[in-house]
Amino acid sequence: MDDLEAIRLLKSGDLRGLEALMERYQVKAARAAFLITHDKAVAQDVVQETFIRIHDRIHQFDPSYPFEPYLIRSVIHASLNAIRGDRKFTSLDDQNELENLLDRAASIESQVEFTQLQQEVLNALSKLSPRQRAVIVQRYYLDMSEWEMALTLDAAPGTVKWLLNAARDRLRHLLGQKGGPHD
Amino acid sequence: MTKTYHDVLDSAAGLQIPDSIDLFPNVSAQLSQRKTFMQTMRARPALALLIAVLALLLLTGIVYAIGRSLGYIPGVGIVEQDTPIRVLDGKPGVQRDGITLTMKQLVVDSSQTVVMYRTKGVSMWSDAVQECAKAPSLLLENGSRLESTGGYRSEMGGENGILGFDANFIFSPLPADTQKVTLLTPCQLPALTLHLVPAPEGFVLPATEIPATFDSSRPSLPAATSFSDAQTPAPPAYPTDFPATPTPVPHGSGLYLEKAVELEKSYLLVGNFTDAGDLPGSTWAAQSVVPYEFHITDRNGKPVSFFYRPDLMPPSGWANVTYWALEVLKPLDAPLTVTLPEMSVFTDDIFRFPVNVGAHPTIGQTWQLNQAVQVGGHSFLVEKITLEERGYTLALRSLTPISREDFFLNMVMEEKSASLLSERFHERDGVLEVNETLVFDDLPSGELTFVLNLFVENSIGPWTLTWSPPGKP
Repeated sequence: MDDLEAIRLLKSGDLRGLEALMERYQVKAARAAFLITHDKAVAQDVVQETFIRIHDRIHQFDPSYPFEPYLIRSVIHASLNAIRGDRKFTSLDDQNELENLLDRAASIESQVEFTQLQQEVLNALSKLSPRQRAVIVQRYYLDMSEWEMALTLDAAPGTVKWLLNAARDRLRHLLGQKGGPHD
Repeated sequence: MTKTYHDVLDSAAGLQIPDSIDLFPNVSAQLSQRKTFMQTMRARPALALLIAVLALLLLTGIVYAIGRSLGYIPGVGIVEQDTPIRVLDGKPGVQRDGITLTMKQLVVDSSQTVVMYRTKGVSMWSDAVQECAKAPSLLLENGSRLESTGGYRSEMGGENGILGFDANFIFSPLPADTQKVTLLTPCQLPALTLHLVPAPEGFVLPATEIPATFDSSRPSLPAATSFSDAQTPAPPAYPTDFPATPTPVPHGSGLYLEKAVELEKSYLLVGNFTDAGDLPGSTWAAQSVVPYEFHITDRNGKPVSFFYRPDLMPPSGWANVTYWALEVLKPLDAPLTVTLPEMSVFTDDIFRFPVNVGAHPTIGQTWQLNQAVQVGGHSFLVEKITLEERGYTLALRSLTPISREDFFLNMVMEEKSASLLSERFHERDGVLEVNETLVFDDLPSGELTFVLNLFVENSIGPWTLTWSPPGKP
């Protein structure tokens, strides 16, 4: 059953359509959600809620558009929303650290070393802010372009990096993570 | 390299999310247990509500006169004191279907009525998400109805898709003899009766507007340079129907002080950063919803403590003005220097590279370009295009030192849309090397045009503003 047929079934109220879509995309969606939320249970909840929402609003979905970007965009938003209170922030160095780890992990051939690096990648990812994680996941896991990311983050093209760096620093300041003026 | 970043992240996430995961039984069970009202709810686009920005609406401007007796209510802003201030009696609330609305404050002066409340328990998937975002109305005892003239609403976020909103709406002033008014709430919540009482002593801090004369300085600006005709667009024209008048910008882009107000123990400074269109790019200044990181020093260069006062920030209806509001404690050793260390300026340009790859290009085949381009004061060499297993890769490198954080790009092919765009950066000794790959399911060939959009961010500063209170040096 392809996506079109699954959506047609779902629009008619047949849950077999939803089952087919979930079977096809739930692993990717849950892994993306996990990489952003860093919490397996939250990630699974996010994906379940997202598919429930899709079930609710499938009548609004235009099947001439691809389903996967629609799903992934929803998952990213729901993941960010689910961990909105997460106040862990990090320096840019940690983002570089993550990318260095990705470079190392991508180039090694030893399975043992690769397994160790997988955990290091997760640890490095956990040091990033949720939104930074979302950008990393979009860029490197979902292979989205900067422009697609800007669209997903509801930002004008070109502001993605601004959102990543400048806004992060300012938000950190607002949250009292950094010295400066009082409030 | 044997794996992609995707592969690494996928396998790392796979440590927790196995391929065998099956969430459908849970989803199916939840759907079957849904309450009737949930089943019939039509979901609404909640996207806009996920943007954690202040949804600024038009706000009636308030004209102040120098020396006039004003009042400052923290959290509300500047109020007129020529008539007694009235405020809300208690903090009444209303609830329905898990949604609660709790009044935070209502303030009436001679110029406006400010209604502040918090709404909680709104499911982001429900109809209520849009209803709750709407402005309420005020129903007077004589049956007349007031509609909001402005204000803002900020999303608080929440867990499991349950959102909350802090709302601050402005109405025209209530008649002087009004003792109660009814809030006709959004979200189809029951009407809420609000009783007004005189503001308690000390509720309003005495305030006096004082001259906001200032000097400003700005950094020398780099010229916008580009080899192509596609320059960054100029800032949009100022909308003539916006009710507030922007600060004139006689000195071009920079910091401007619009208002200074003296309180008993402090001064309030309200100003803006204006992008007057003379910068080598766009600031998108108004997109910022959090204060820029100002520094304030006294006449001896010593740091001065200050507070951000977002309740005093006027709404920006113009994309090129960002307001700021600060409170500086007395005593102070004037003049004060307010410094904005830097402002991000973005420049982009588009470059087209036509290449004939022939009818049957082979993997590994390379087409040399060797074209220099400039964006935002930085030079880049677009070296070559190579056919790889996944698609066409364009290689470029910086000819002037630039950080990866200050540069990004997008690439498309005019003749055919790629299924994926992947990107690899390498930074060595200030030289940035980029490989941008267009991945195709069905590889195009023949005459192809690669369109490259380069984006550069320059941090320009410092911007300063010098101000002294009256009677001070």
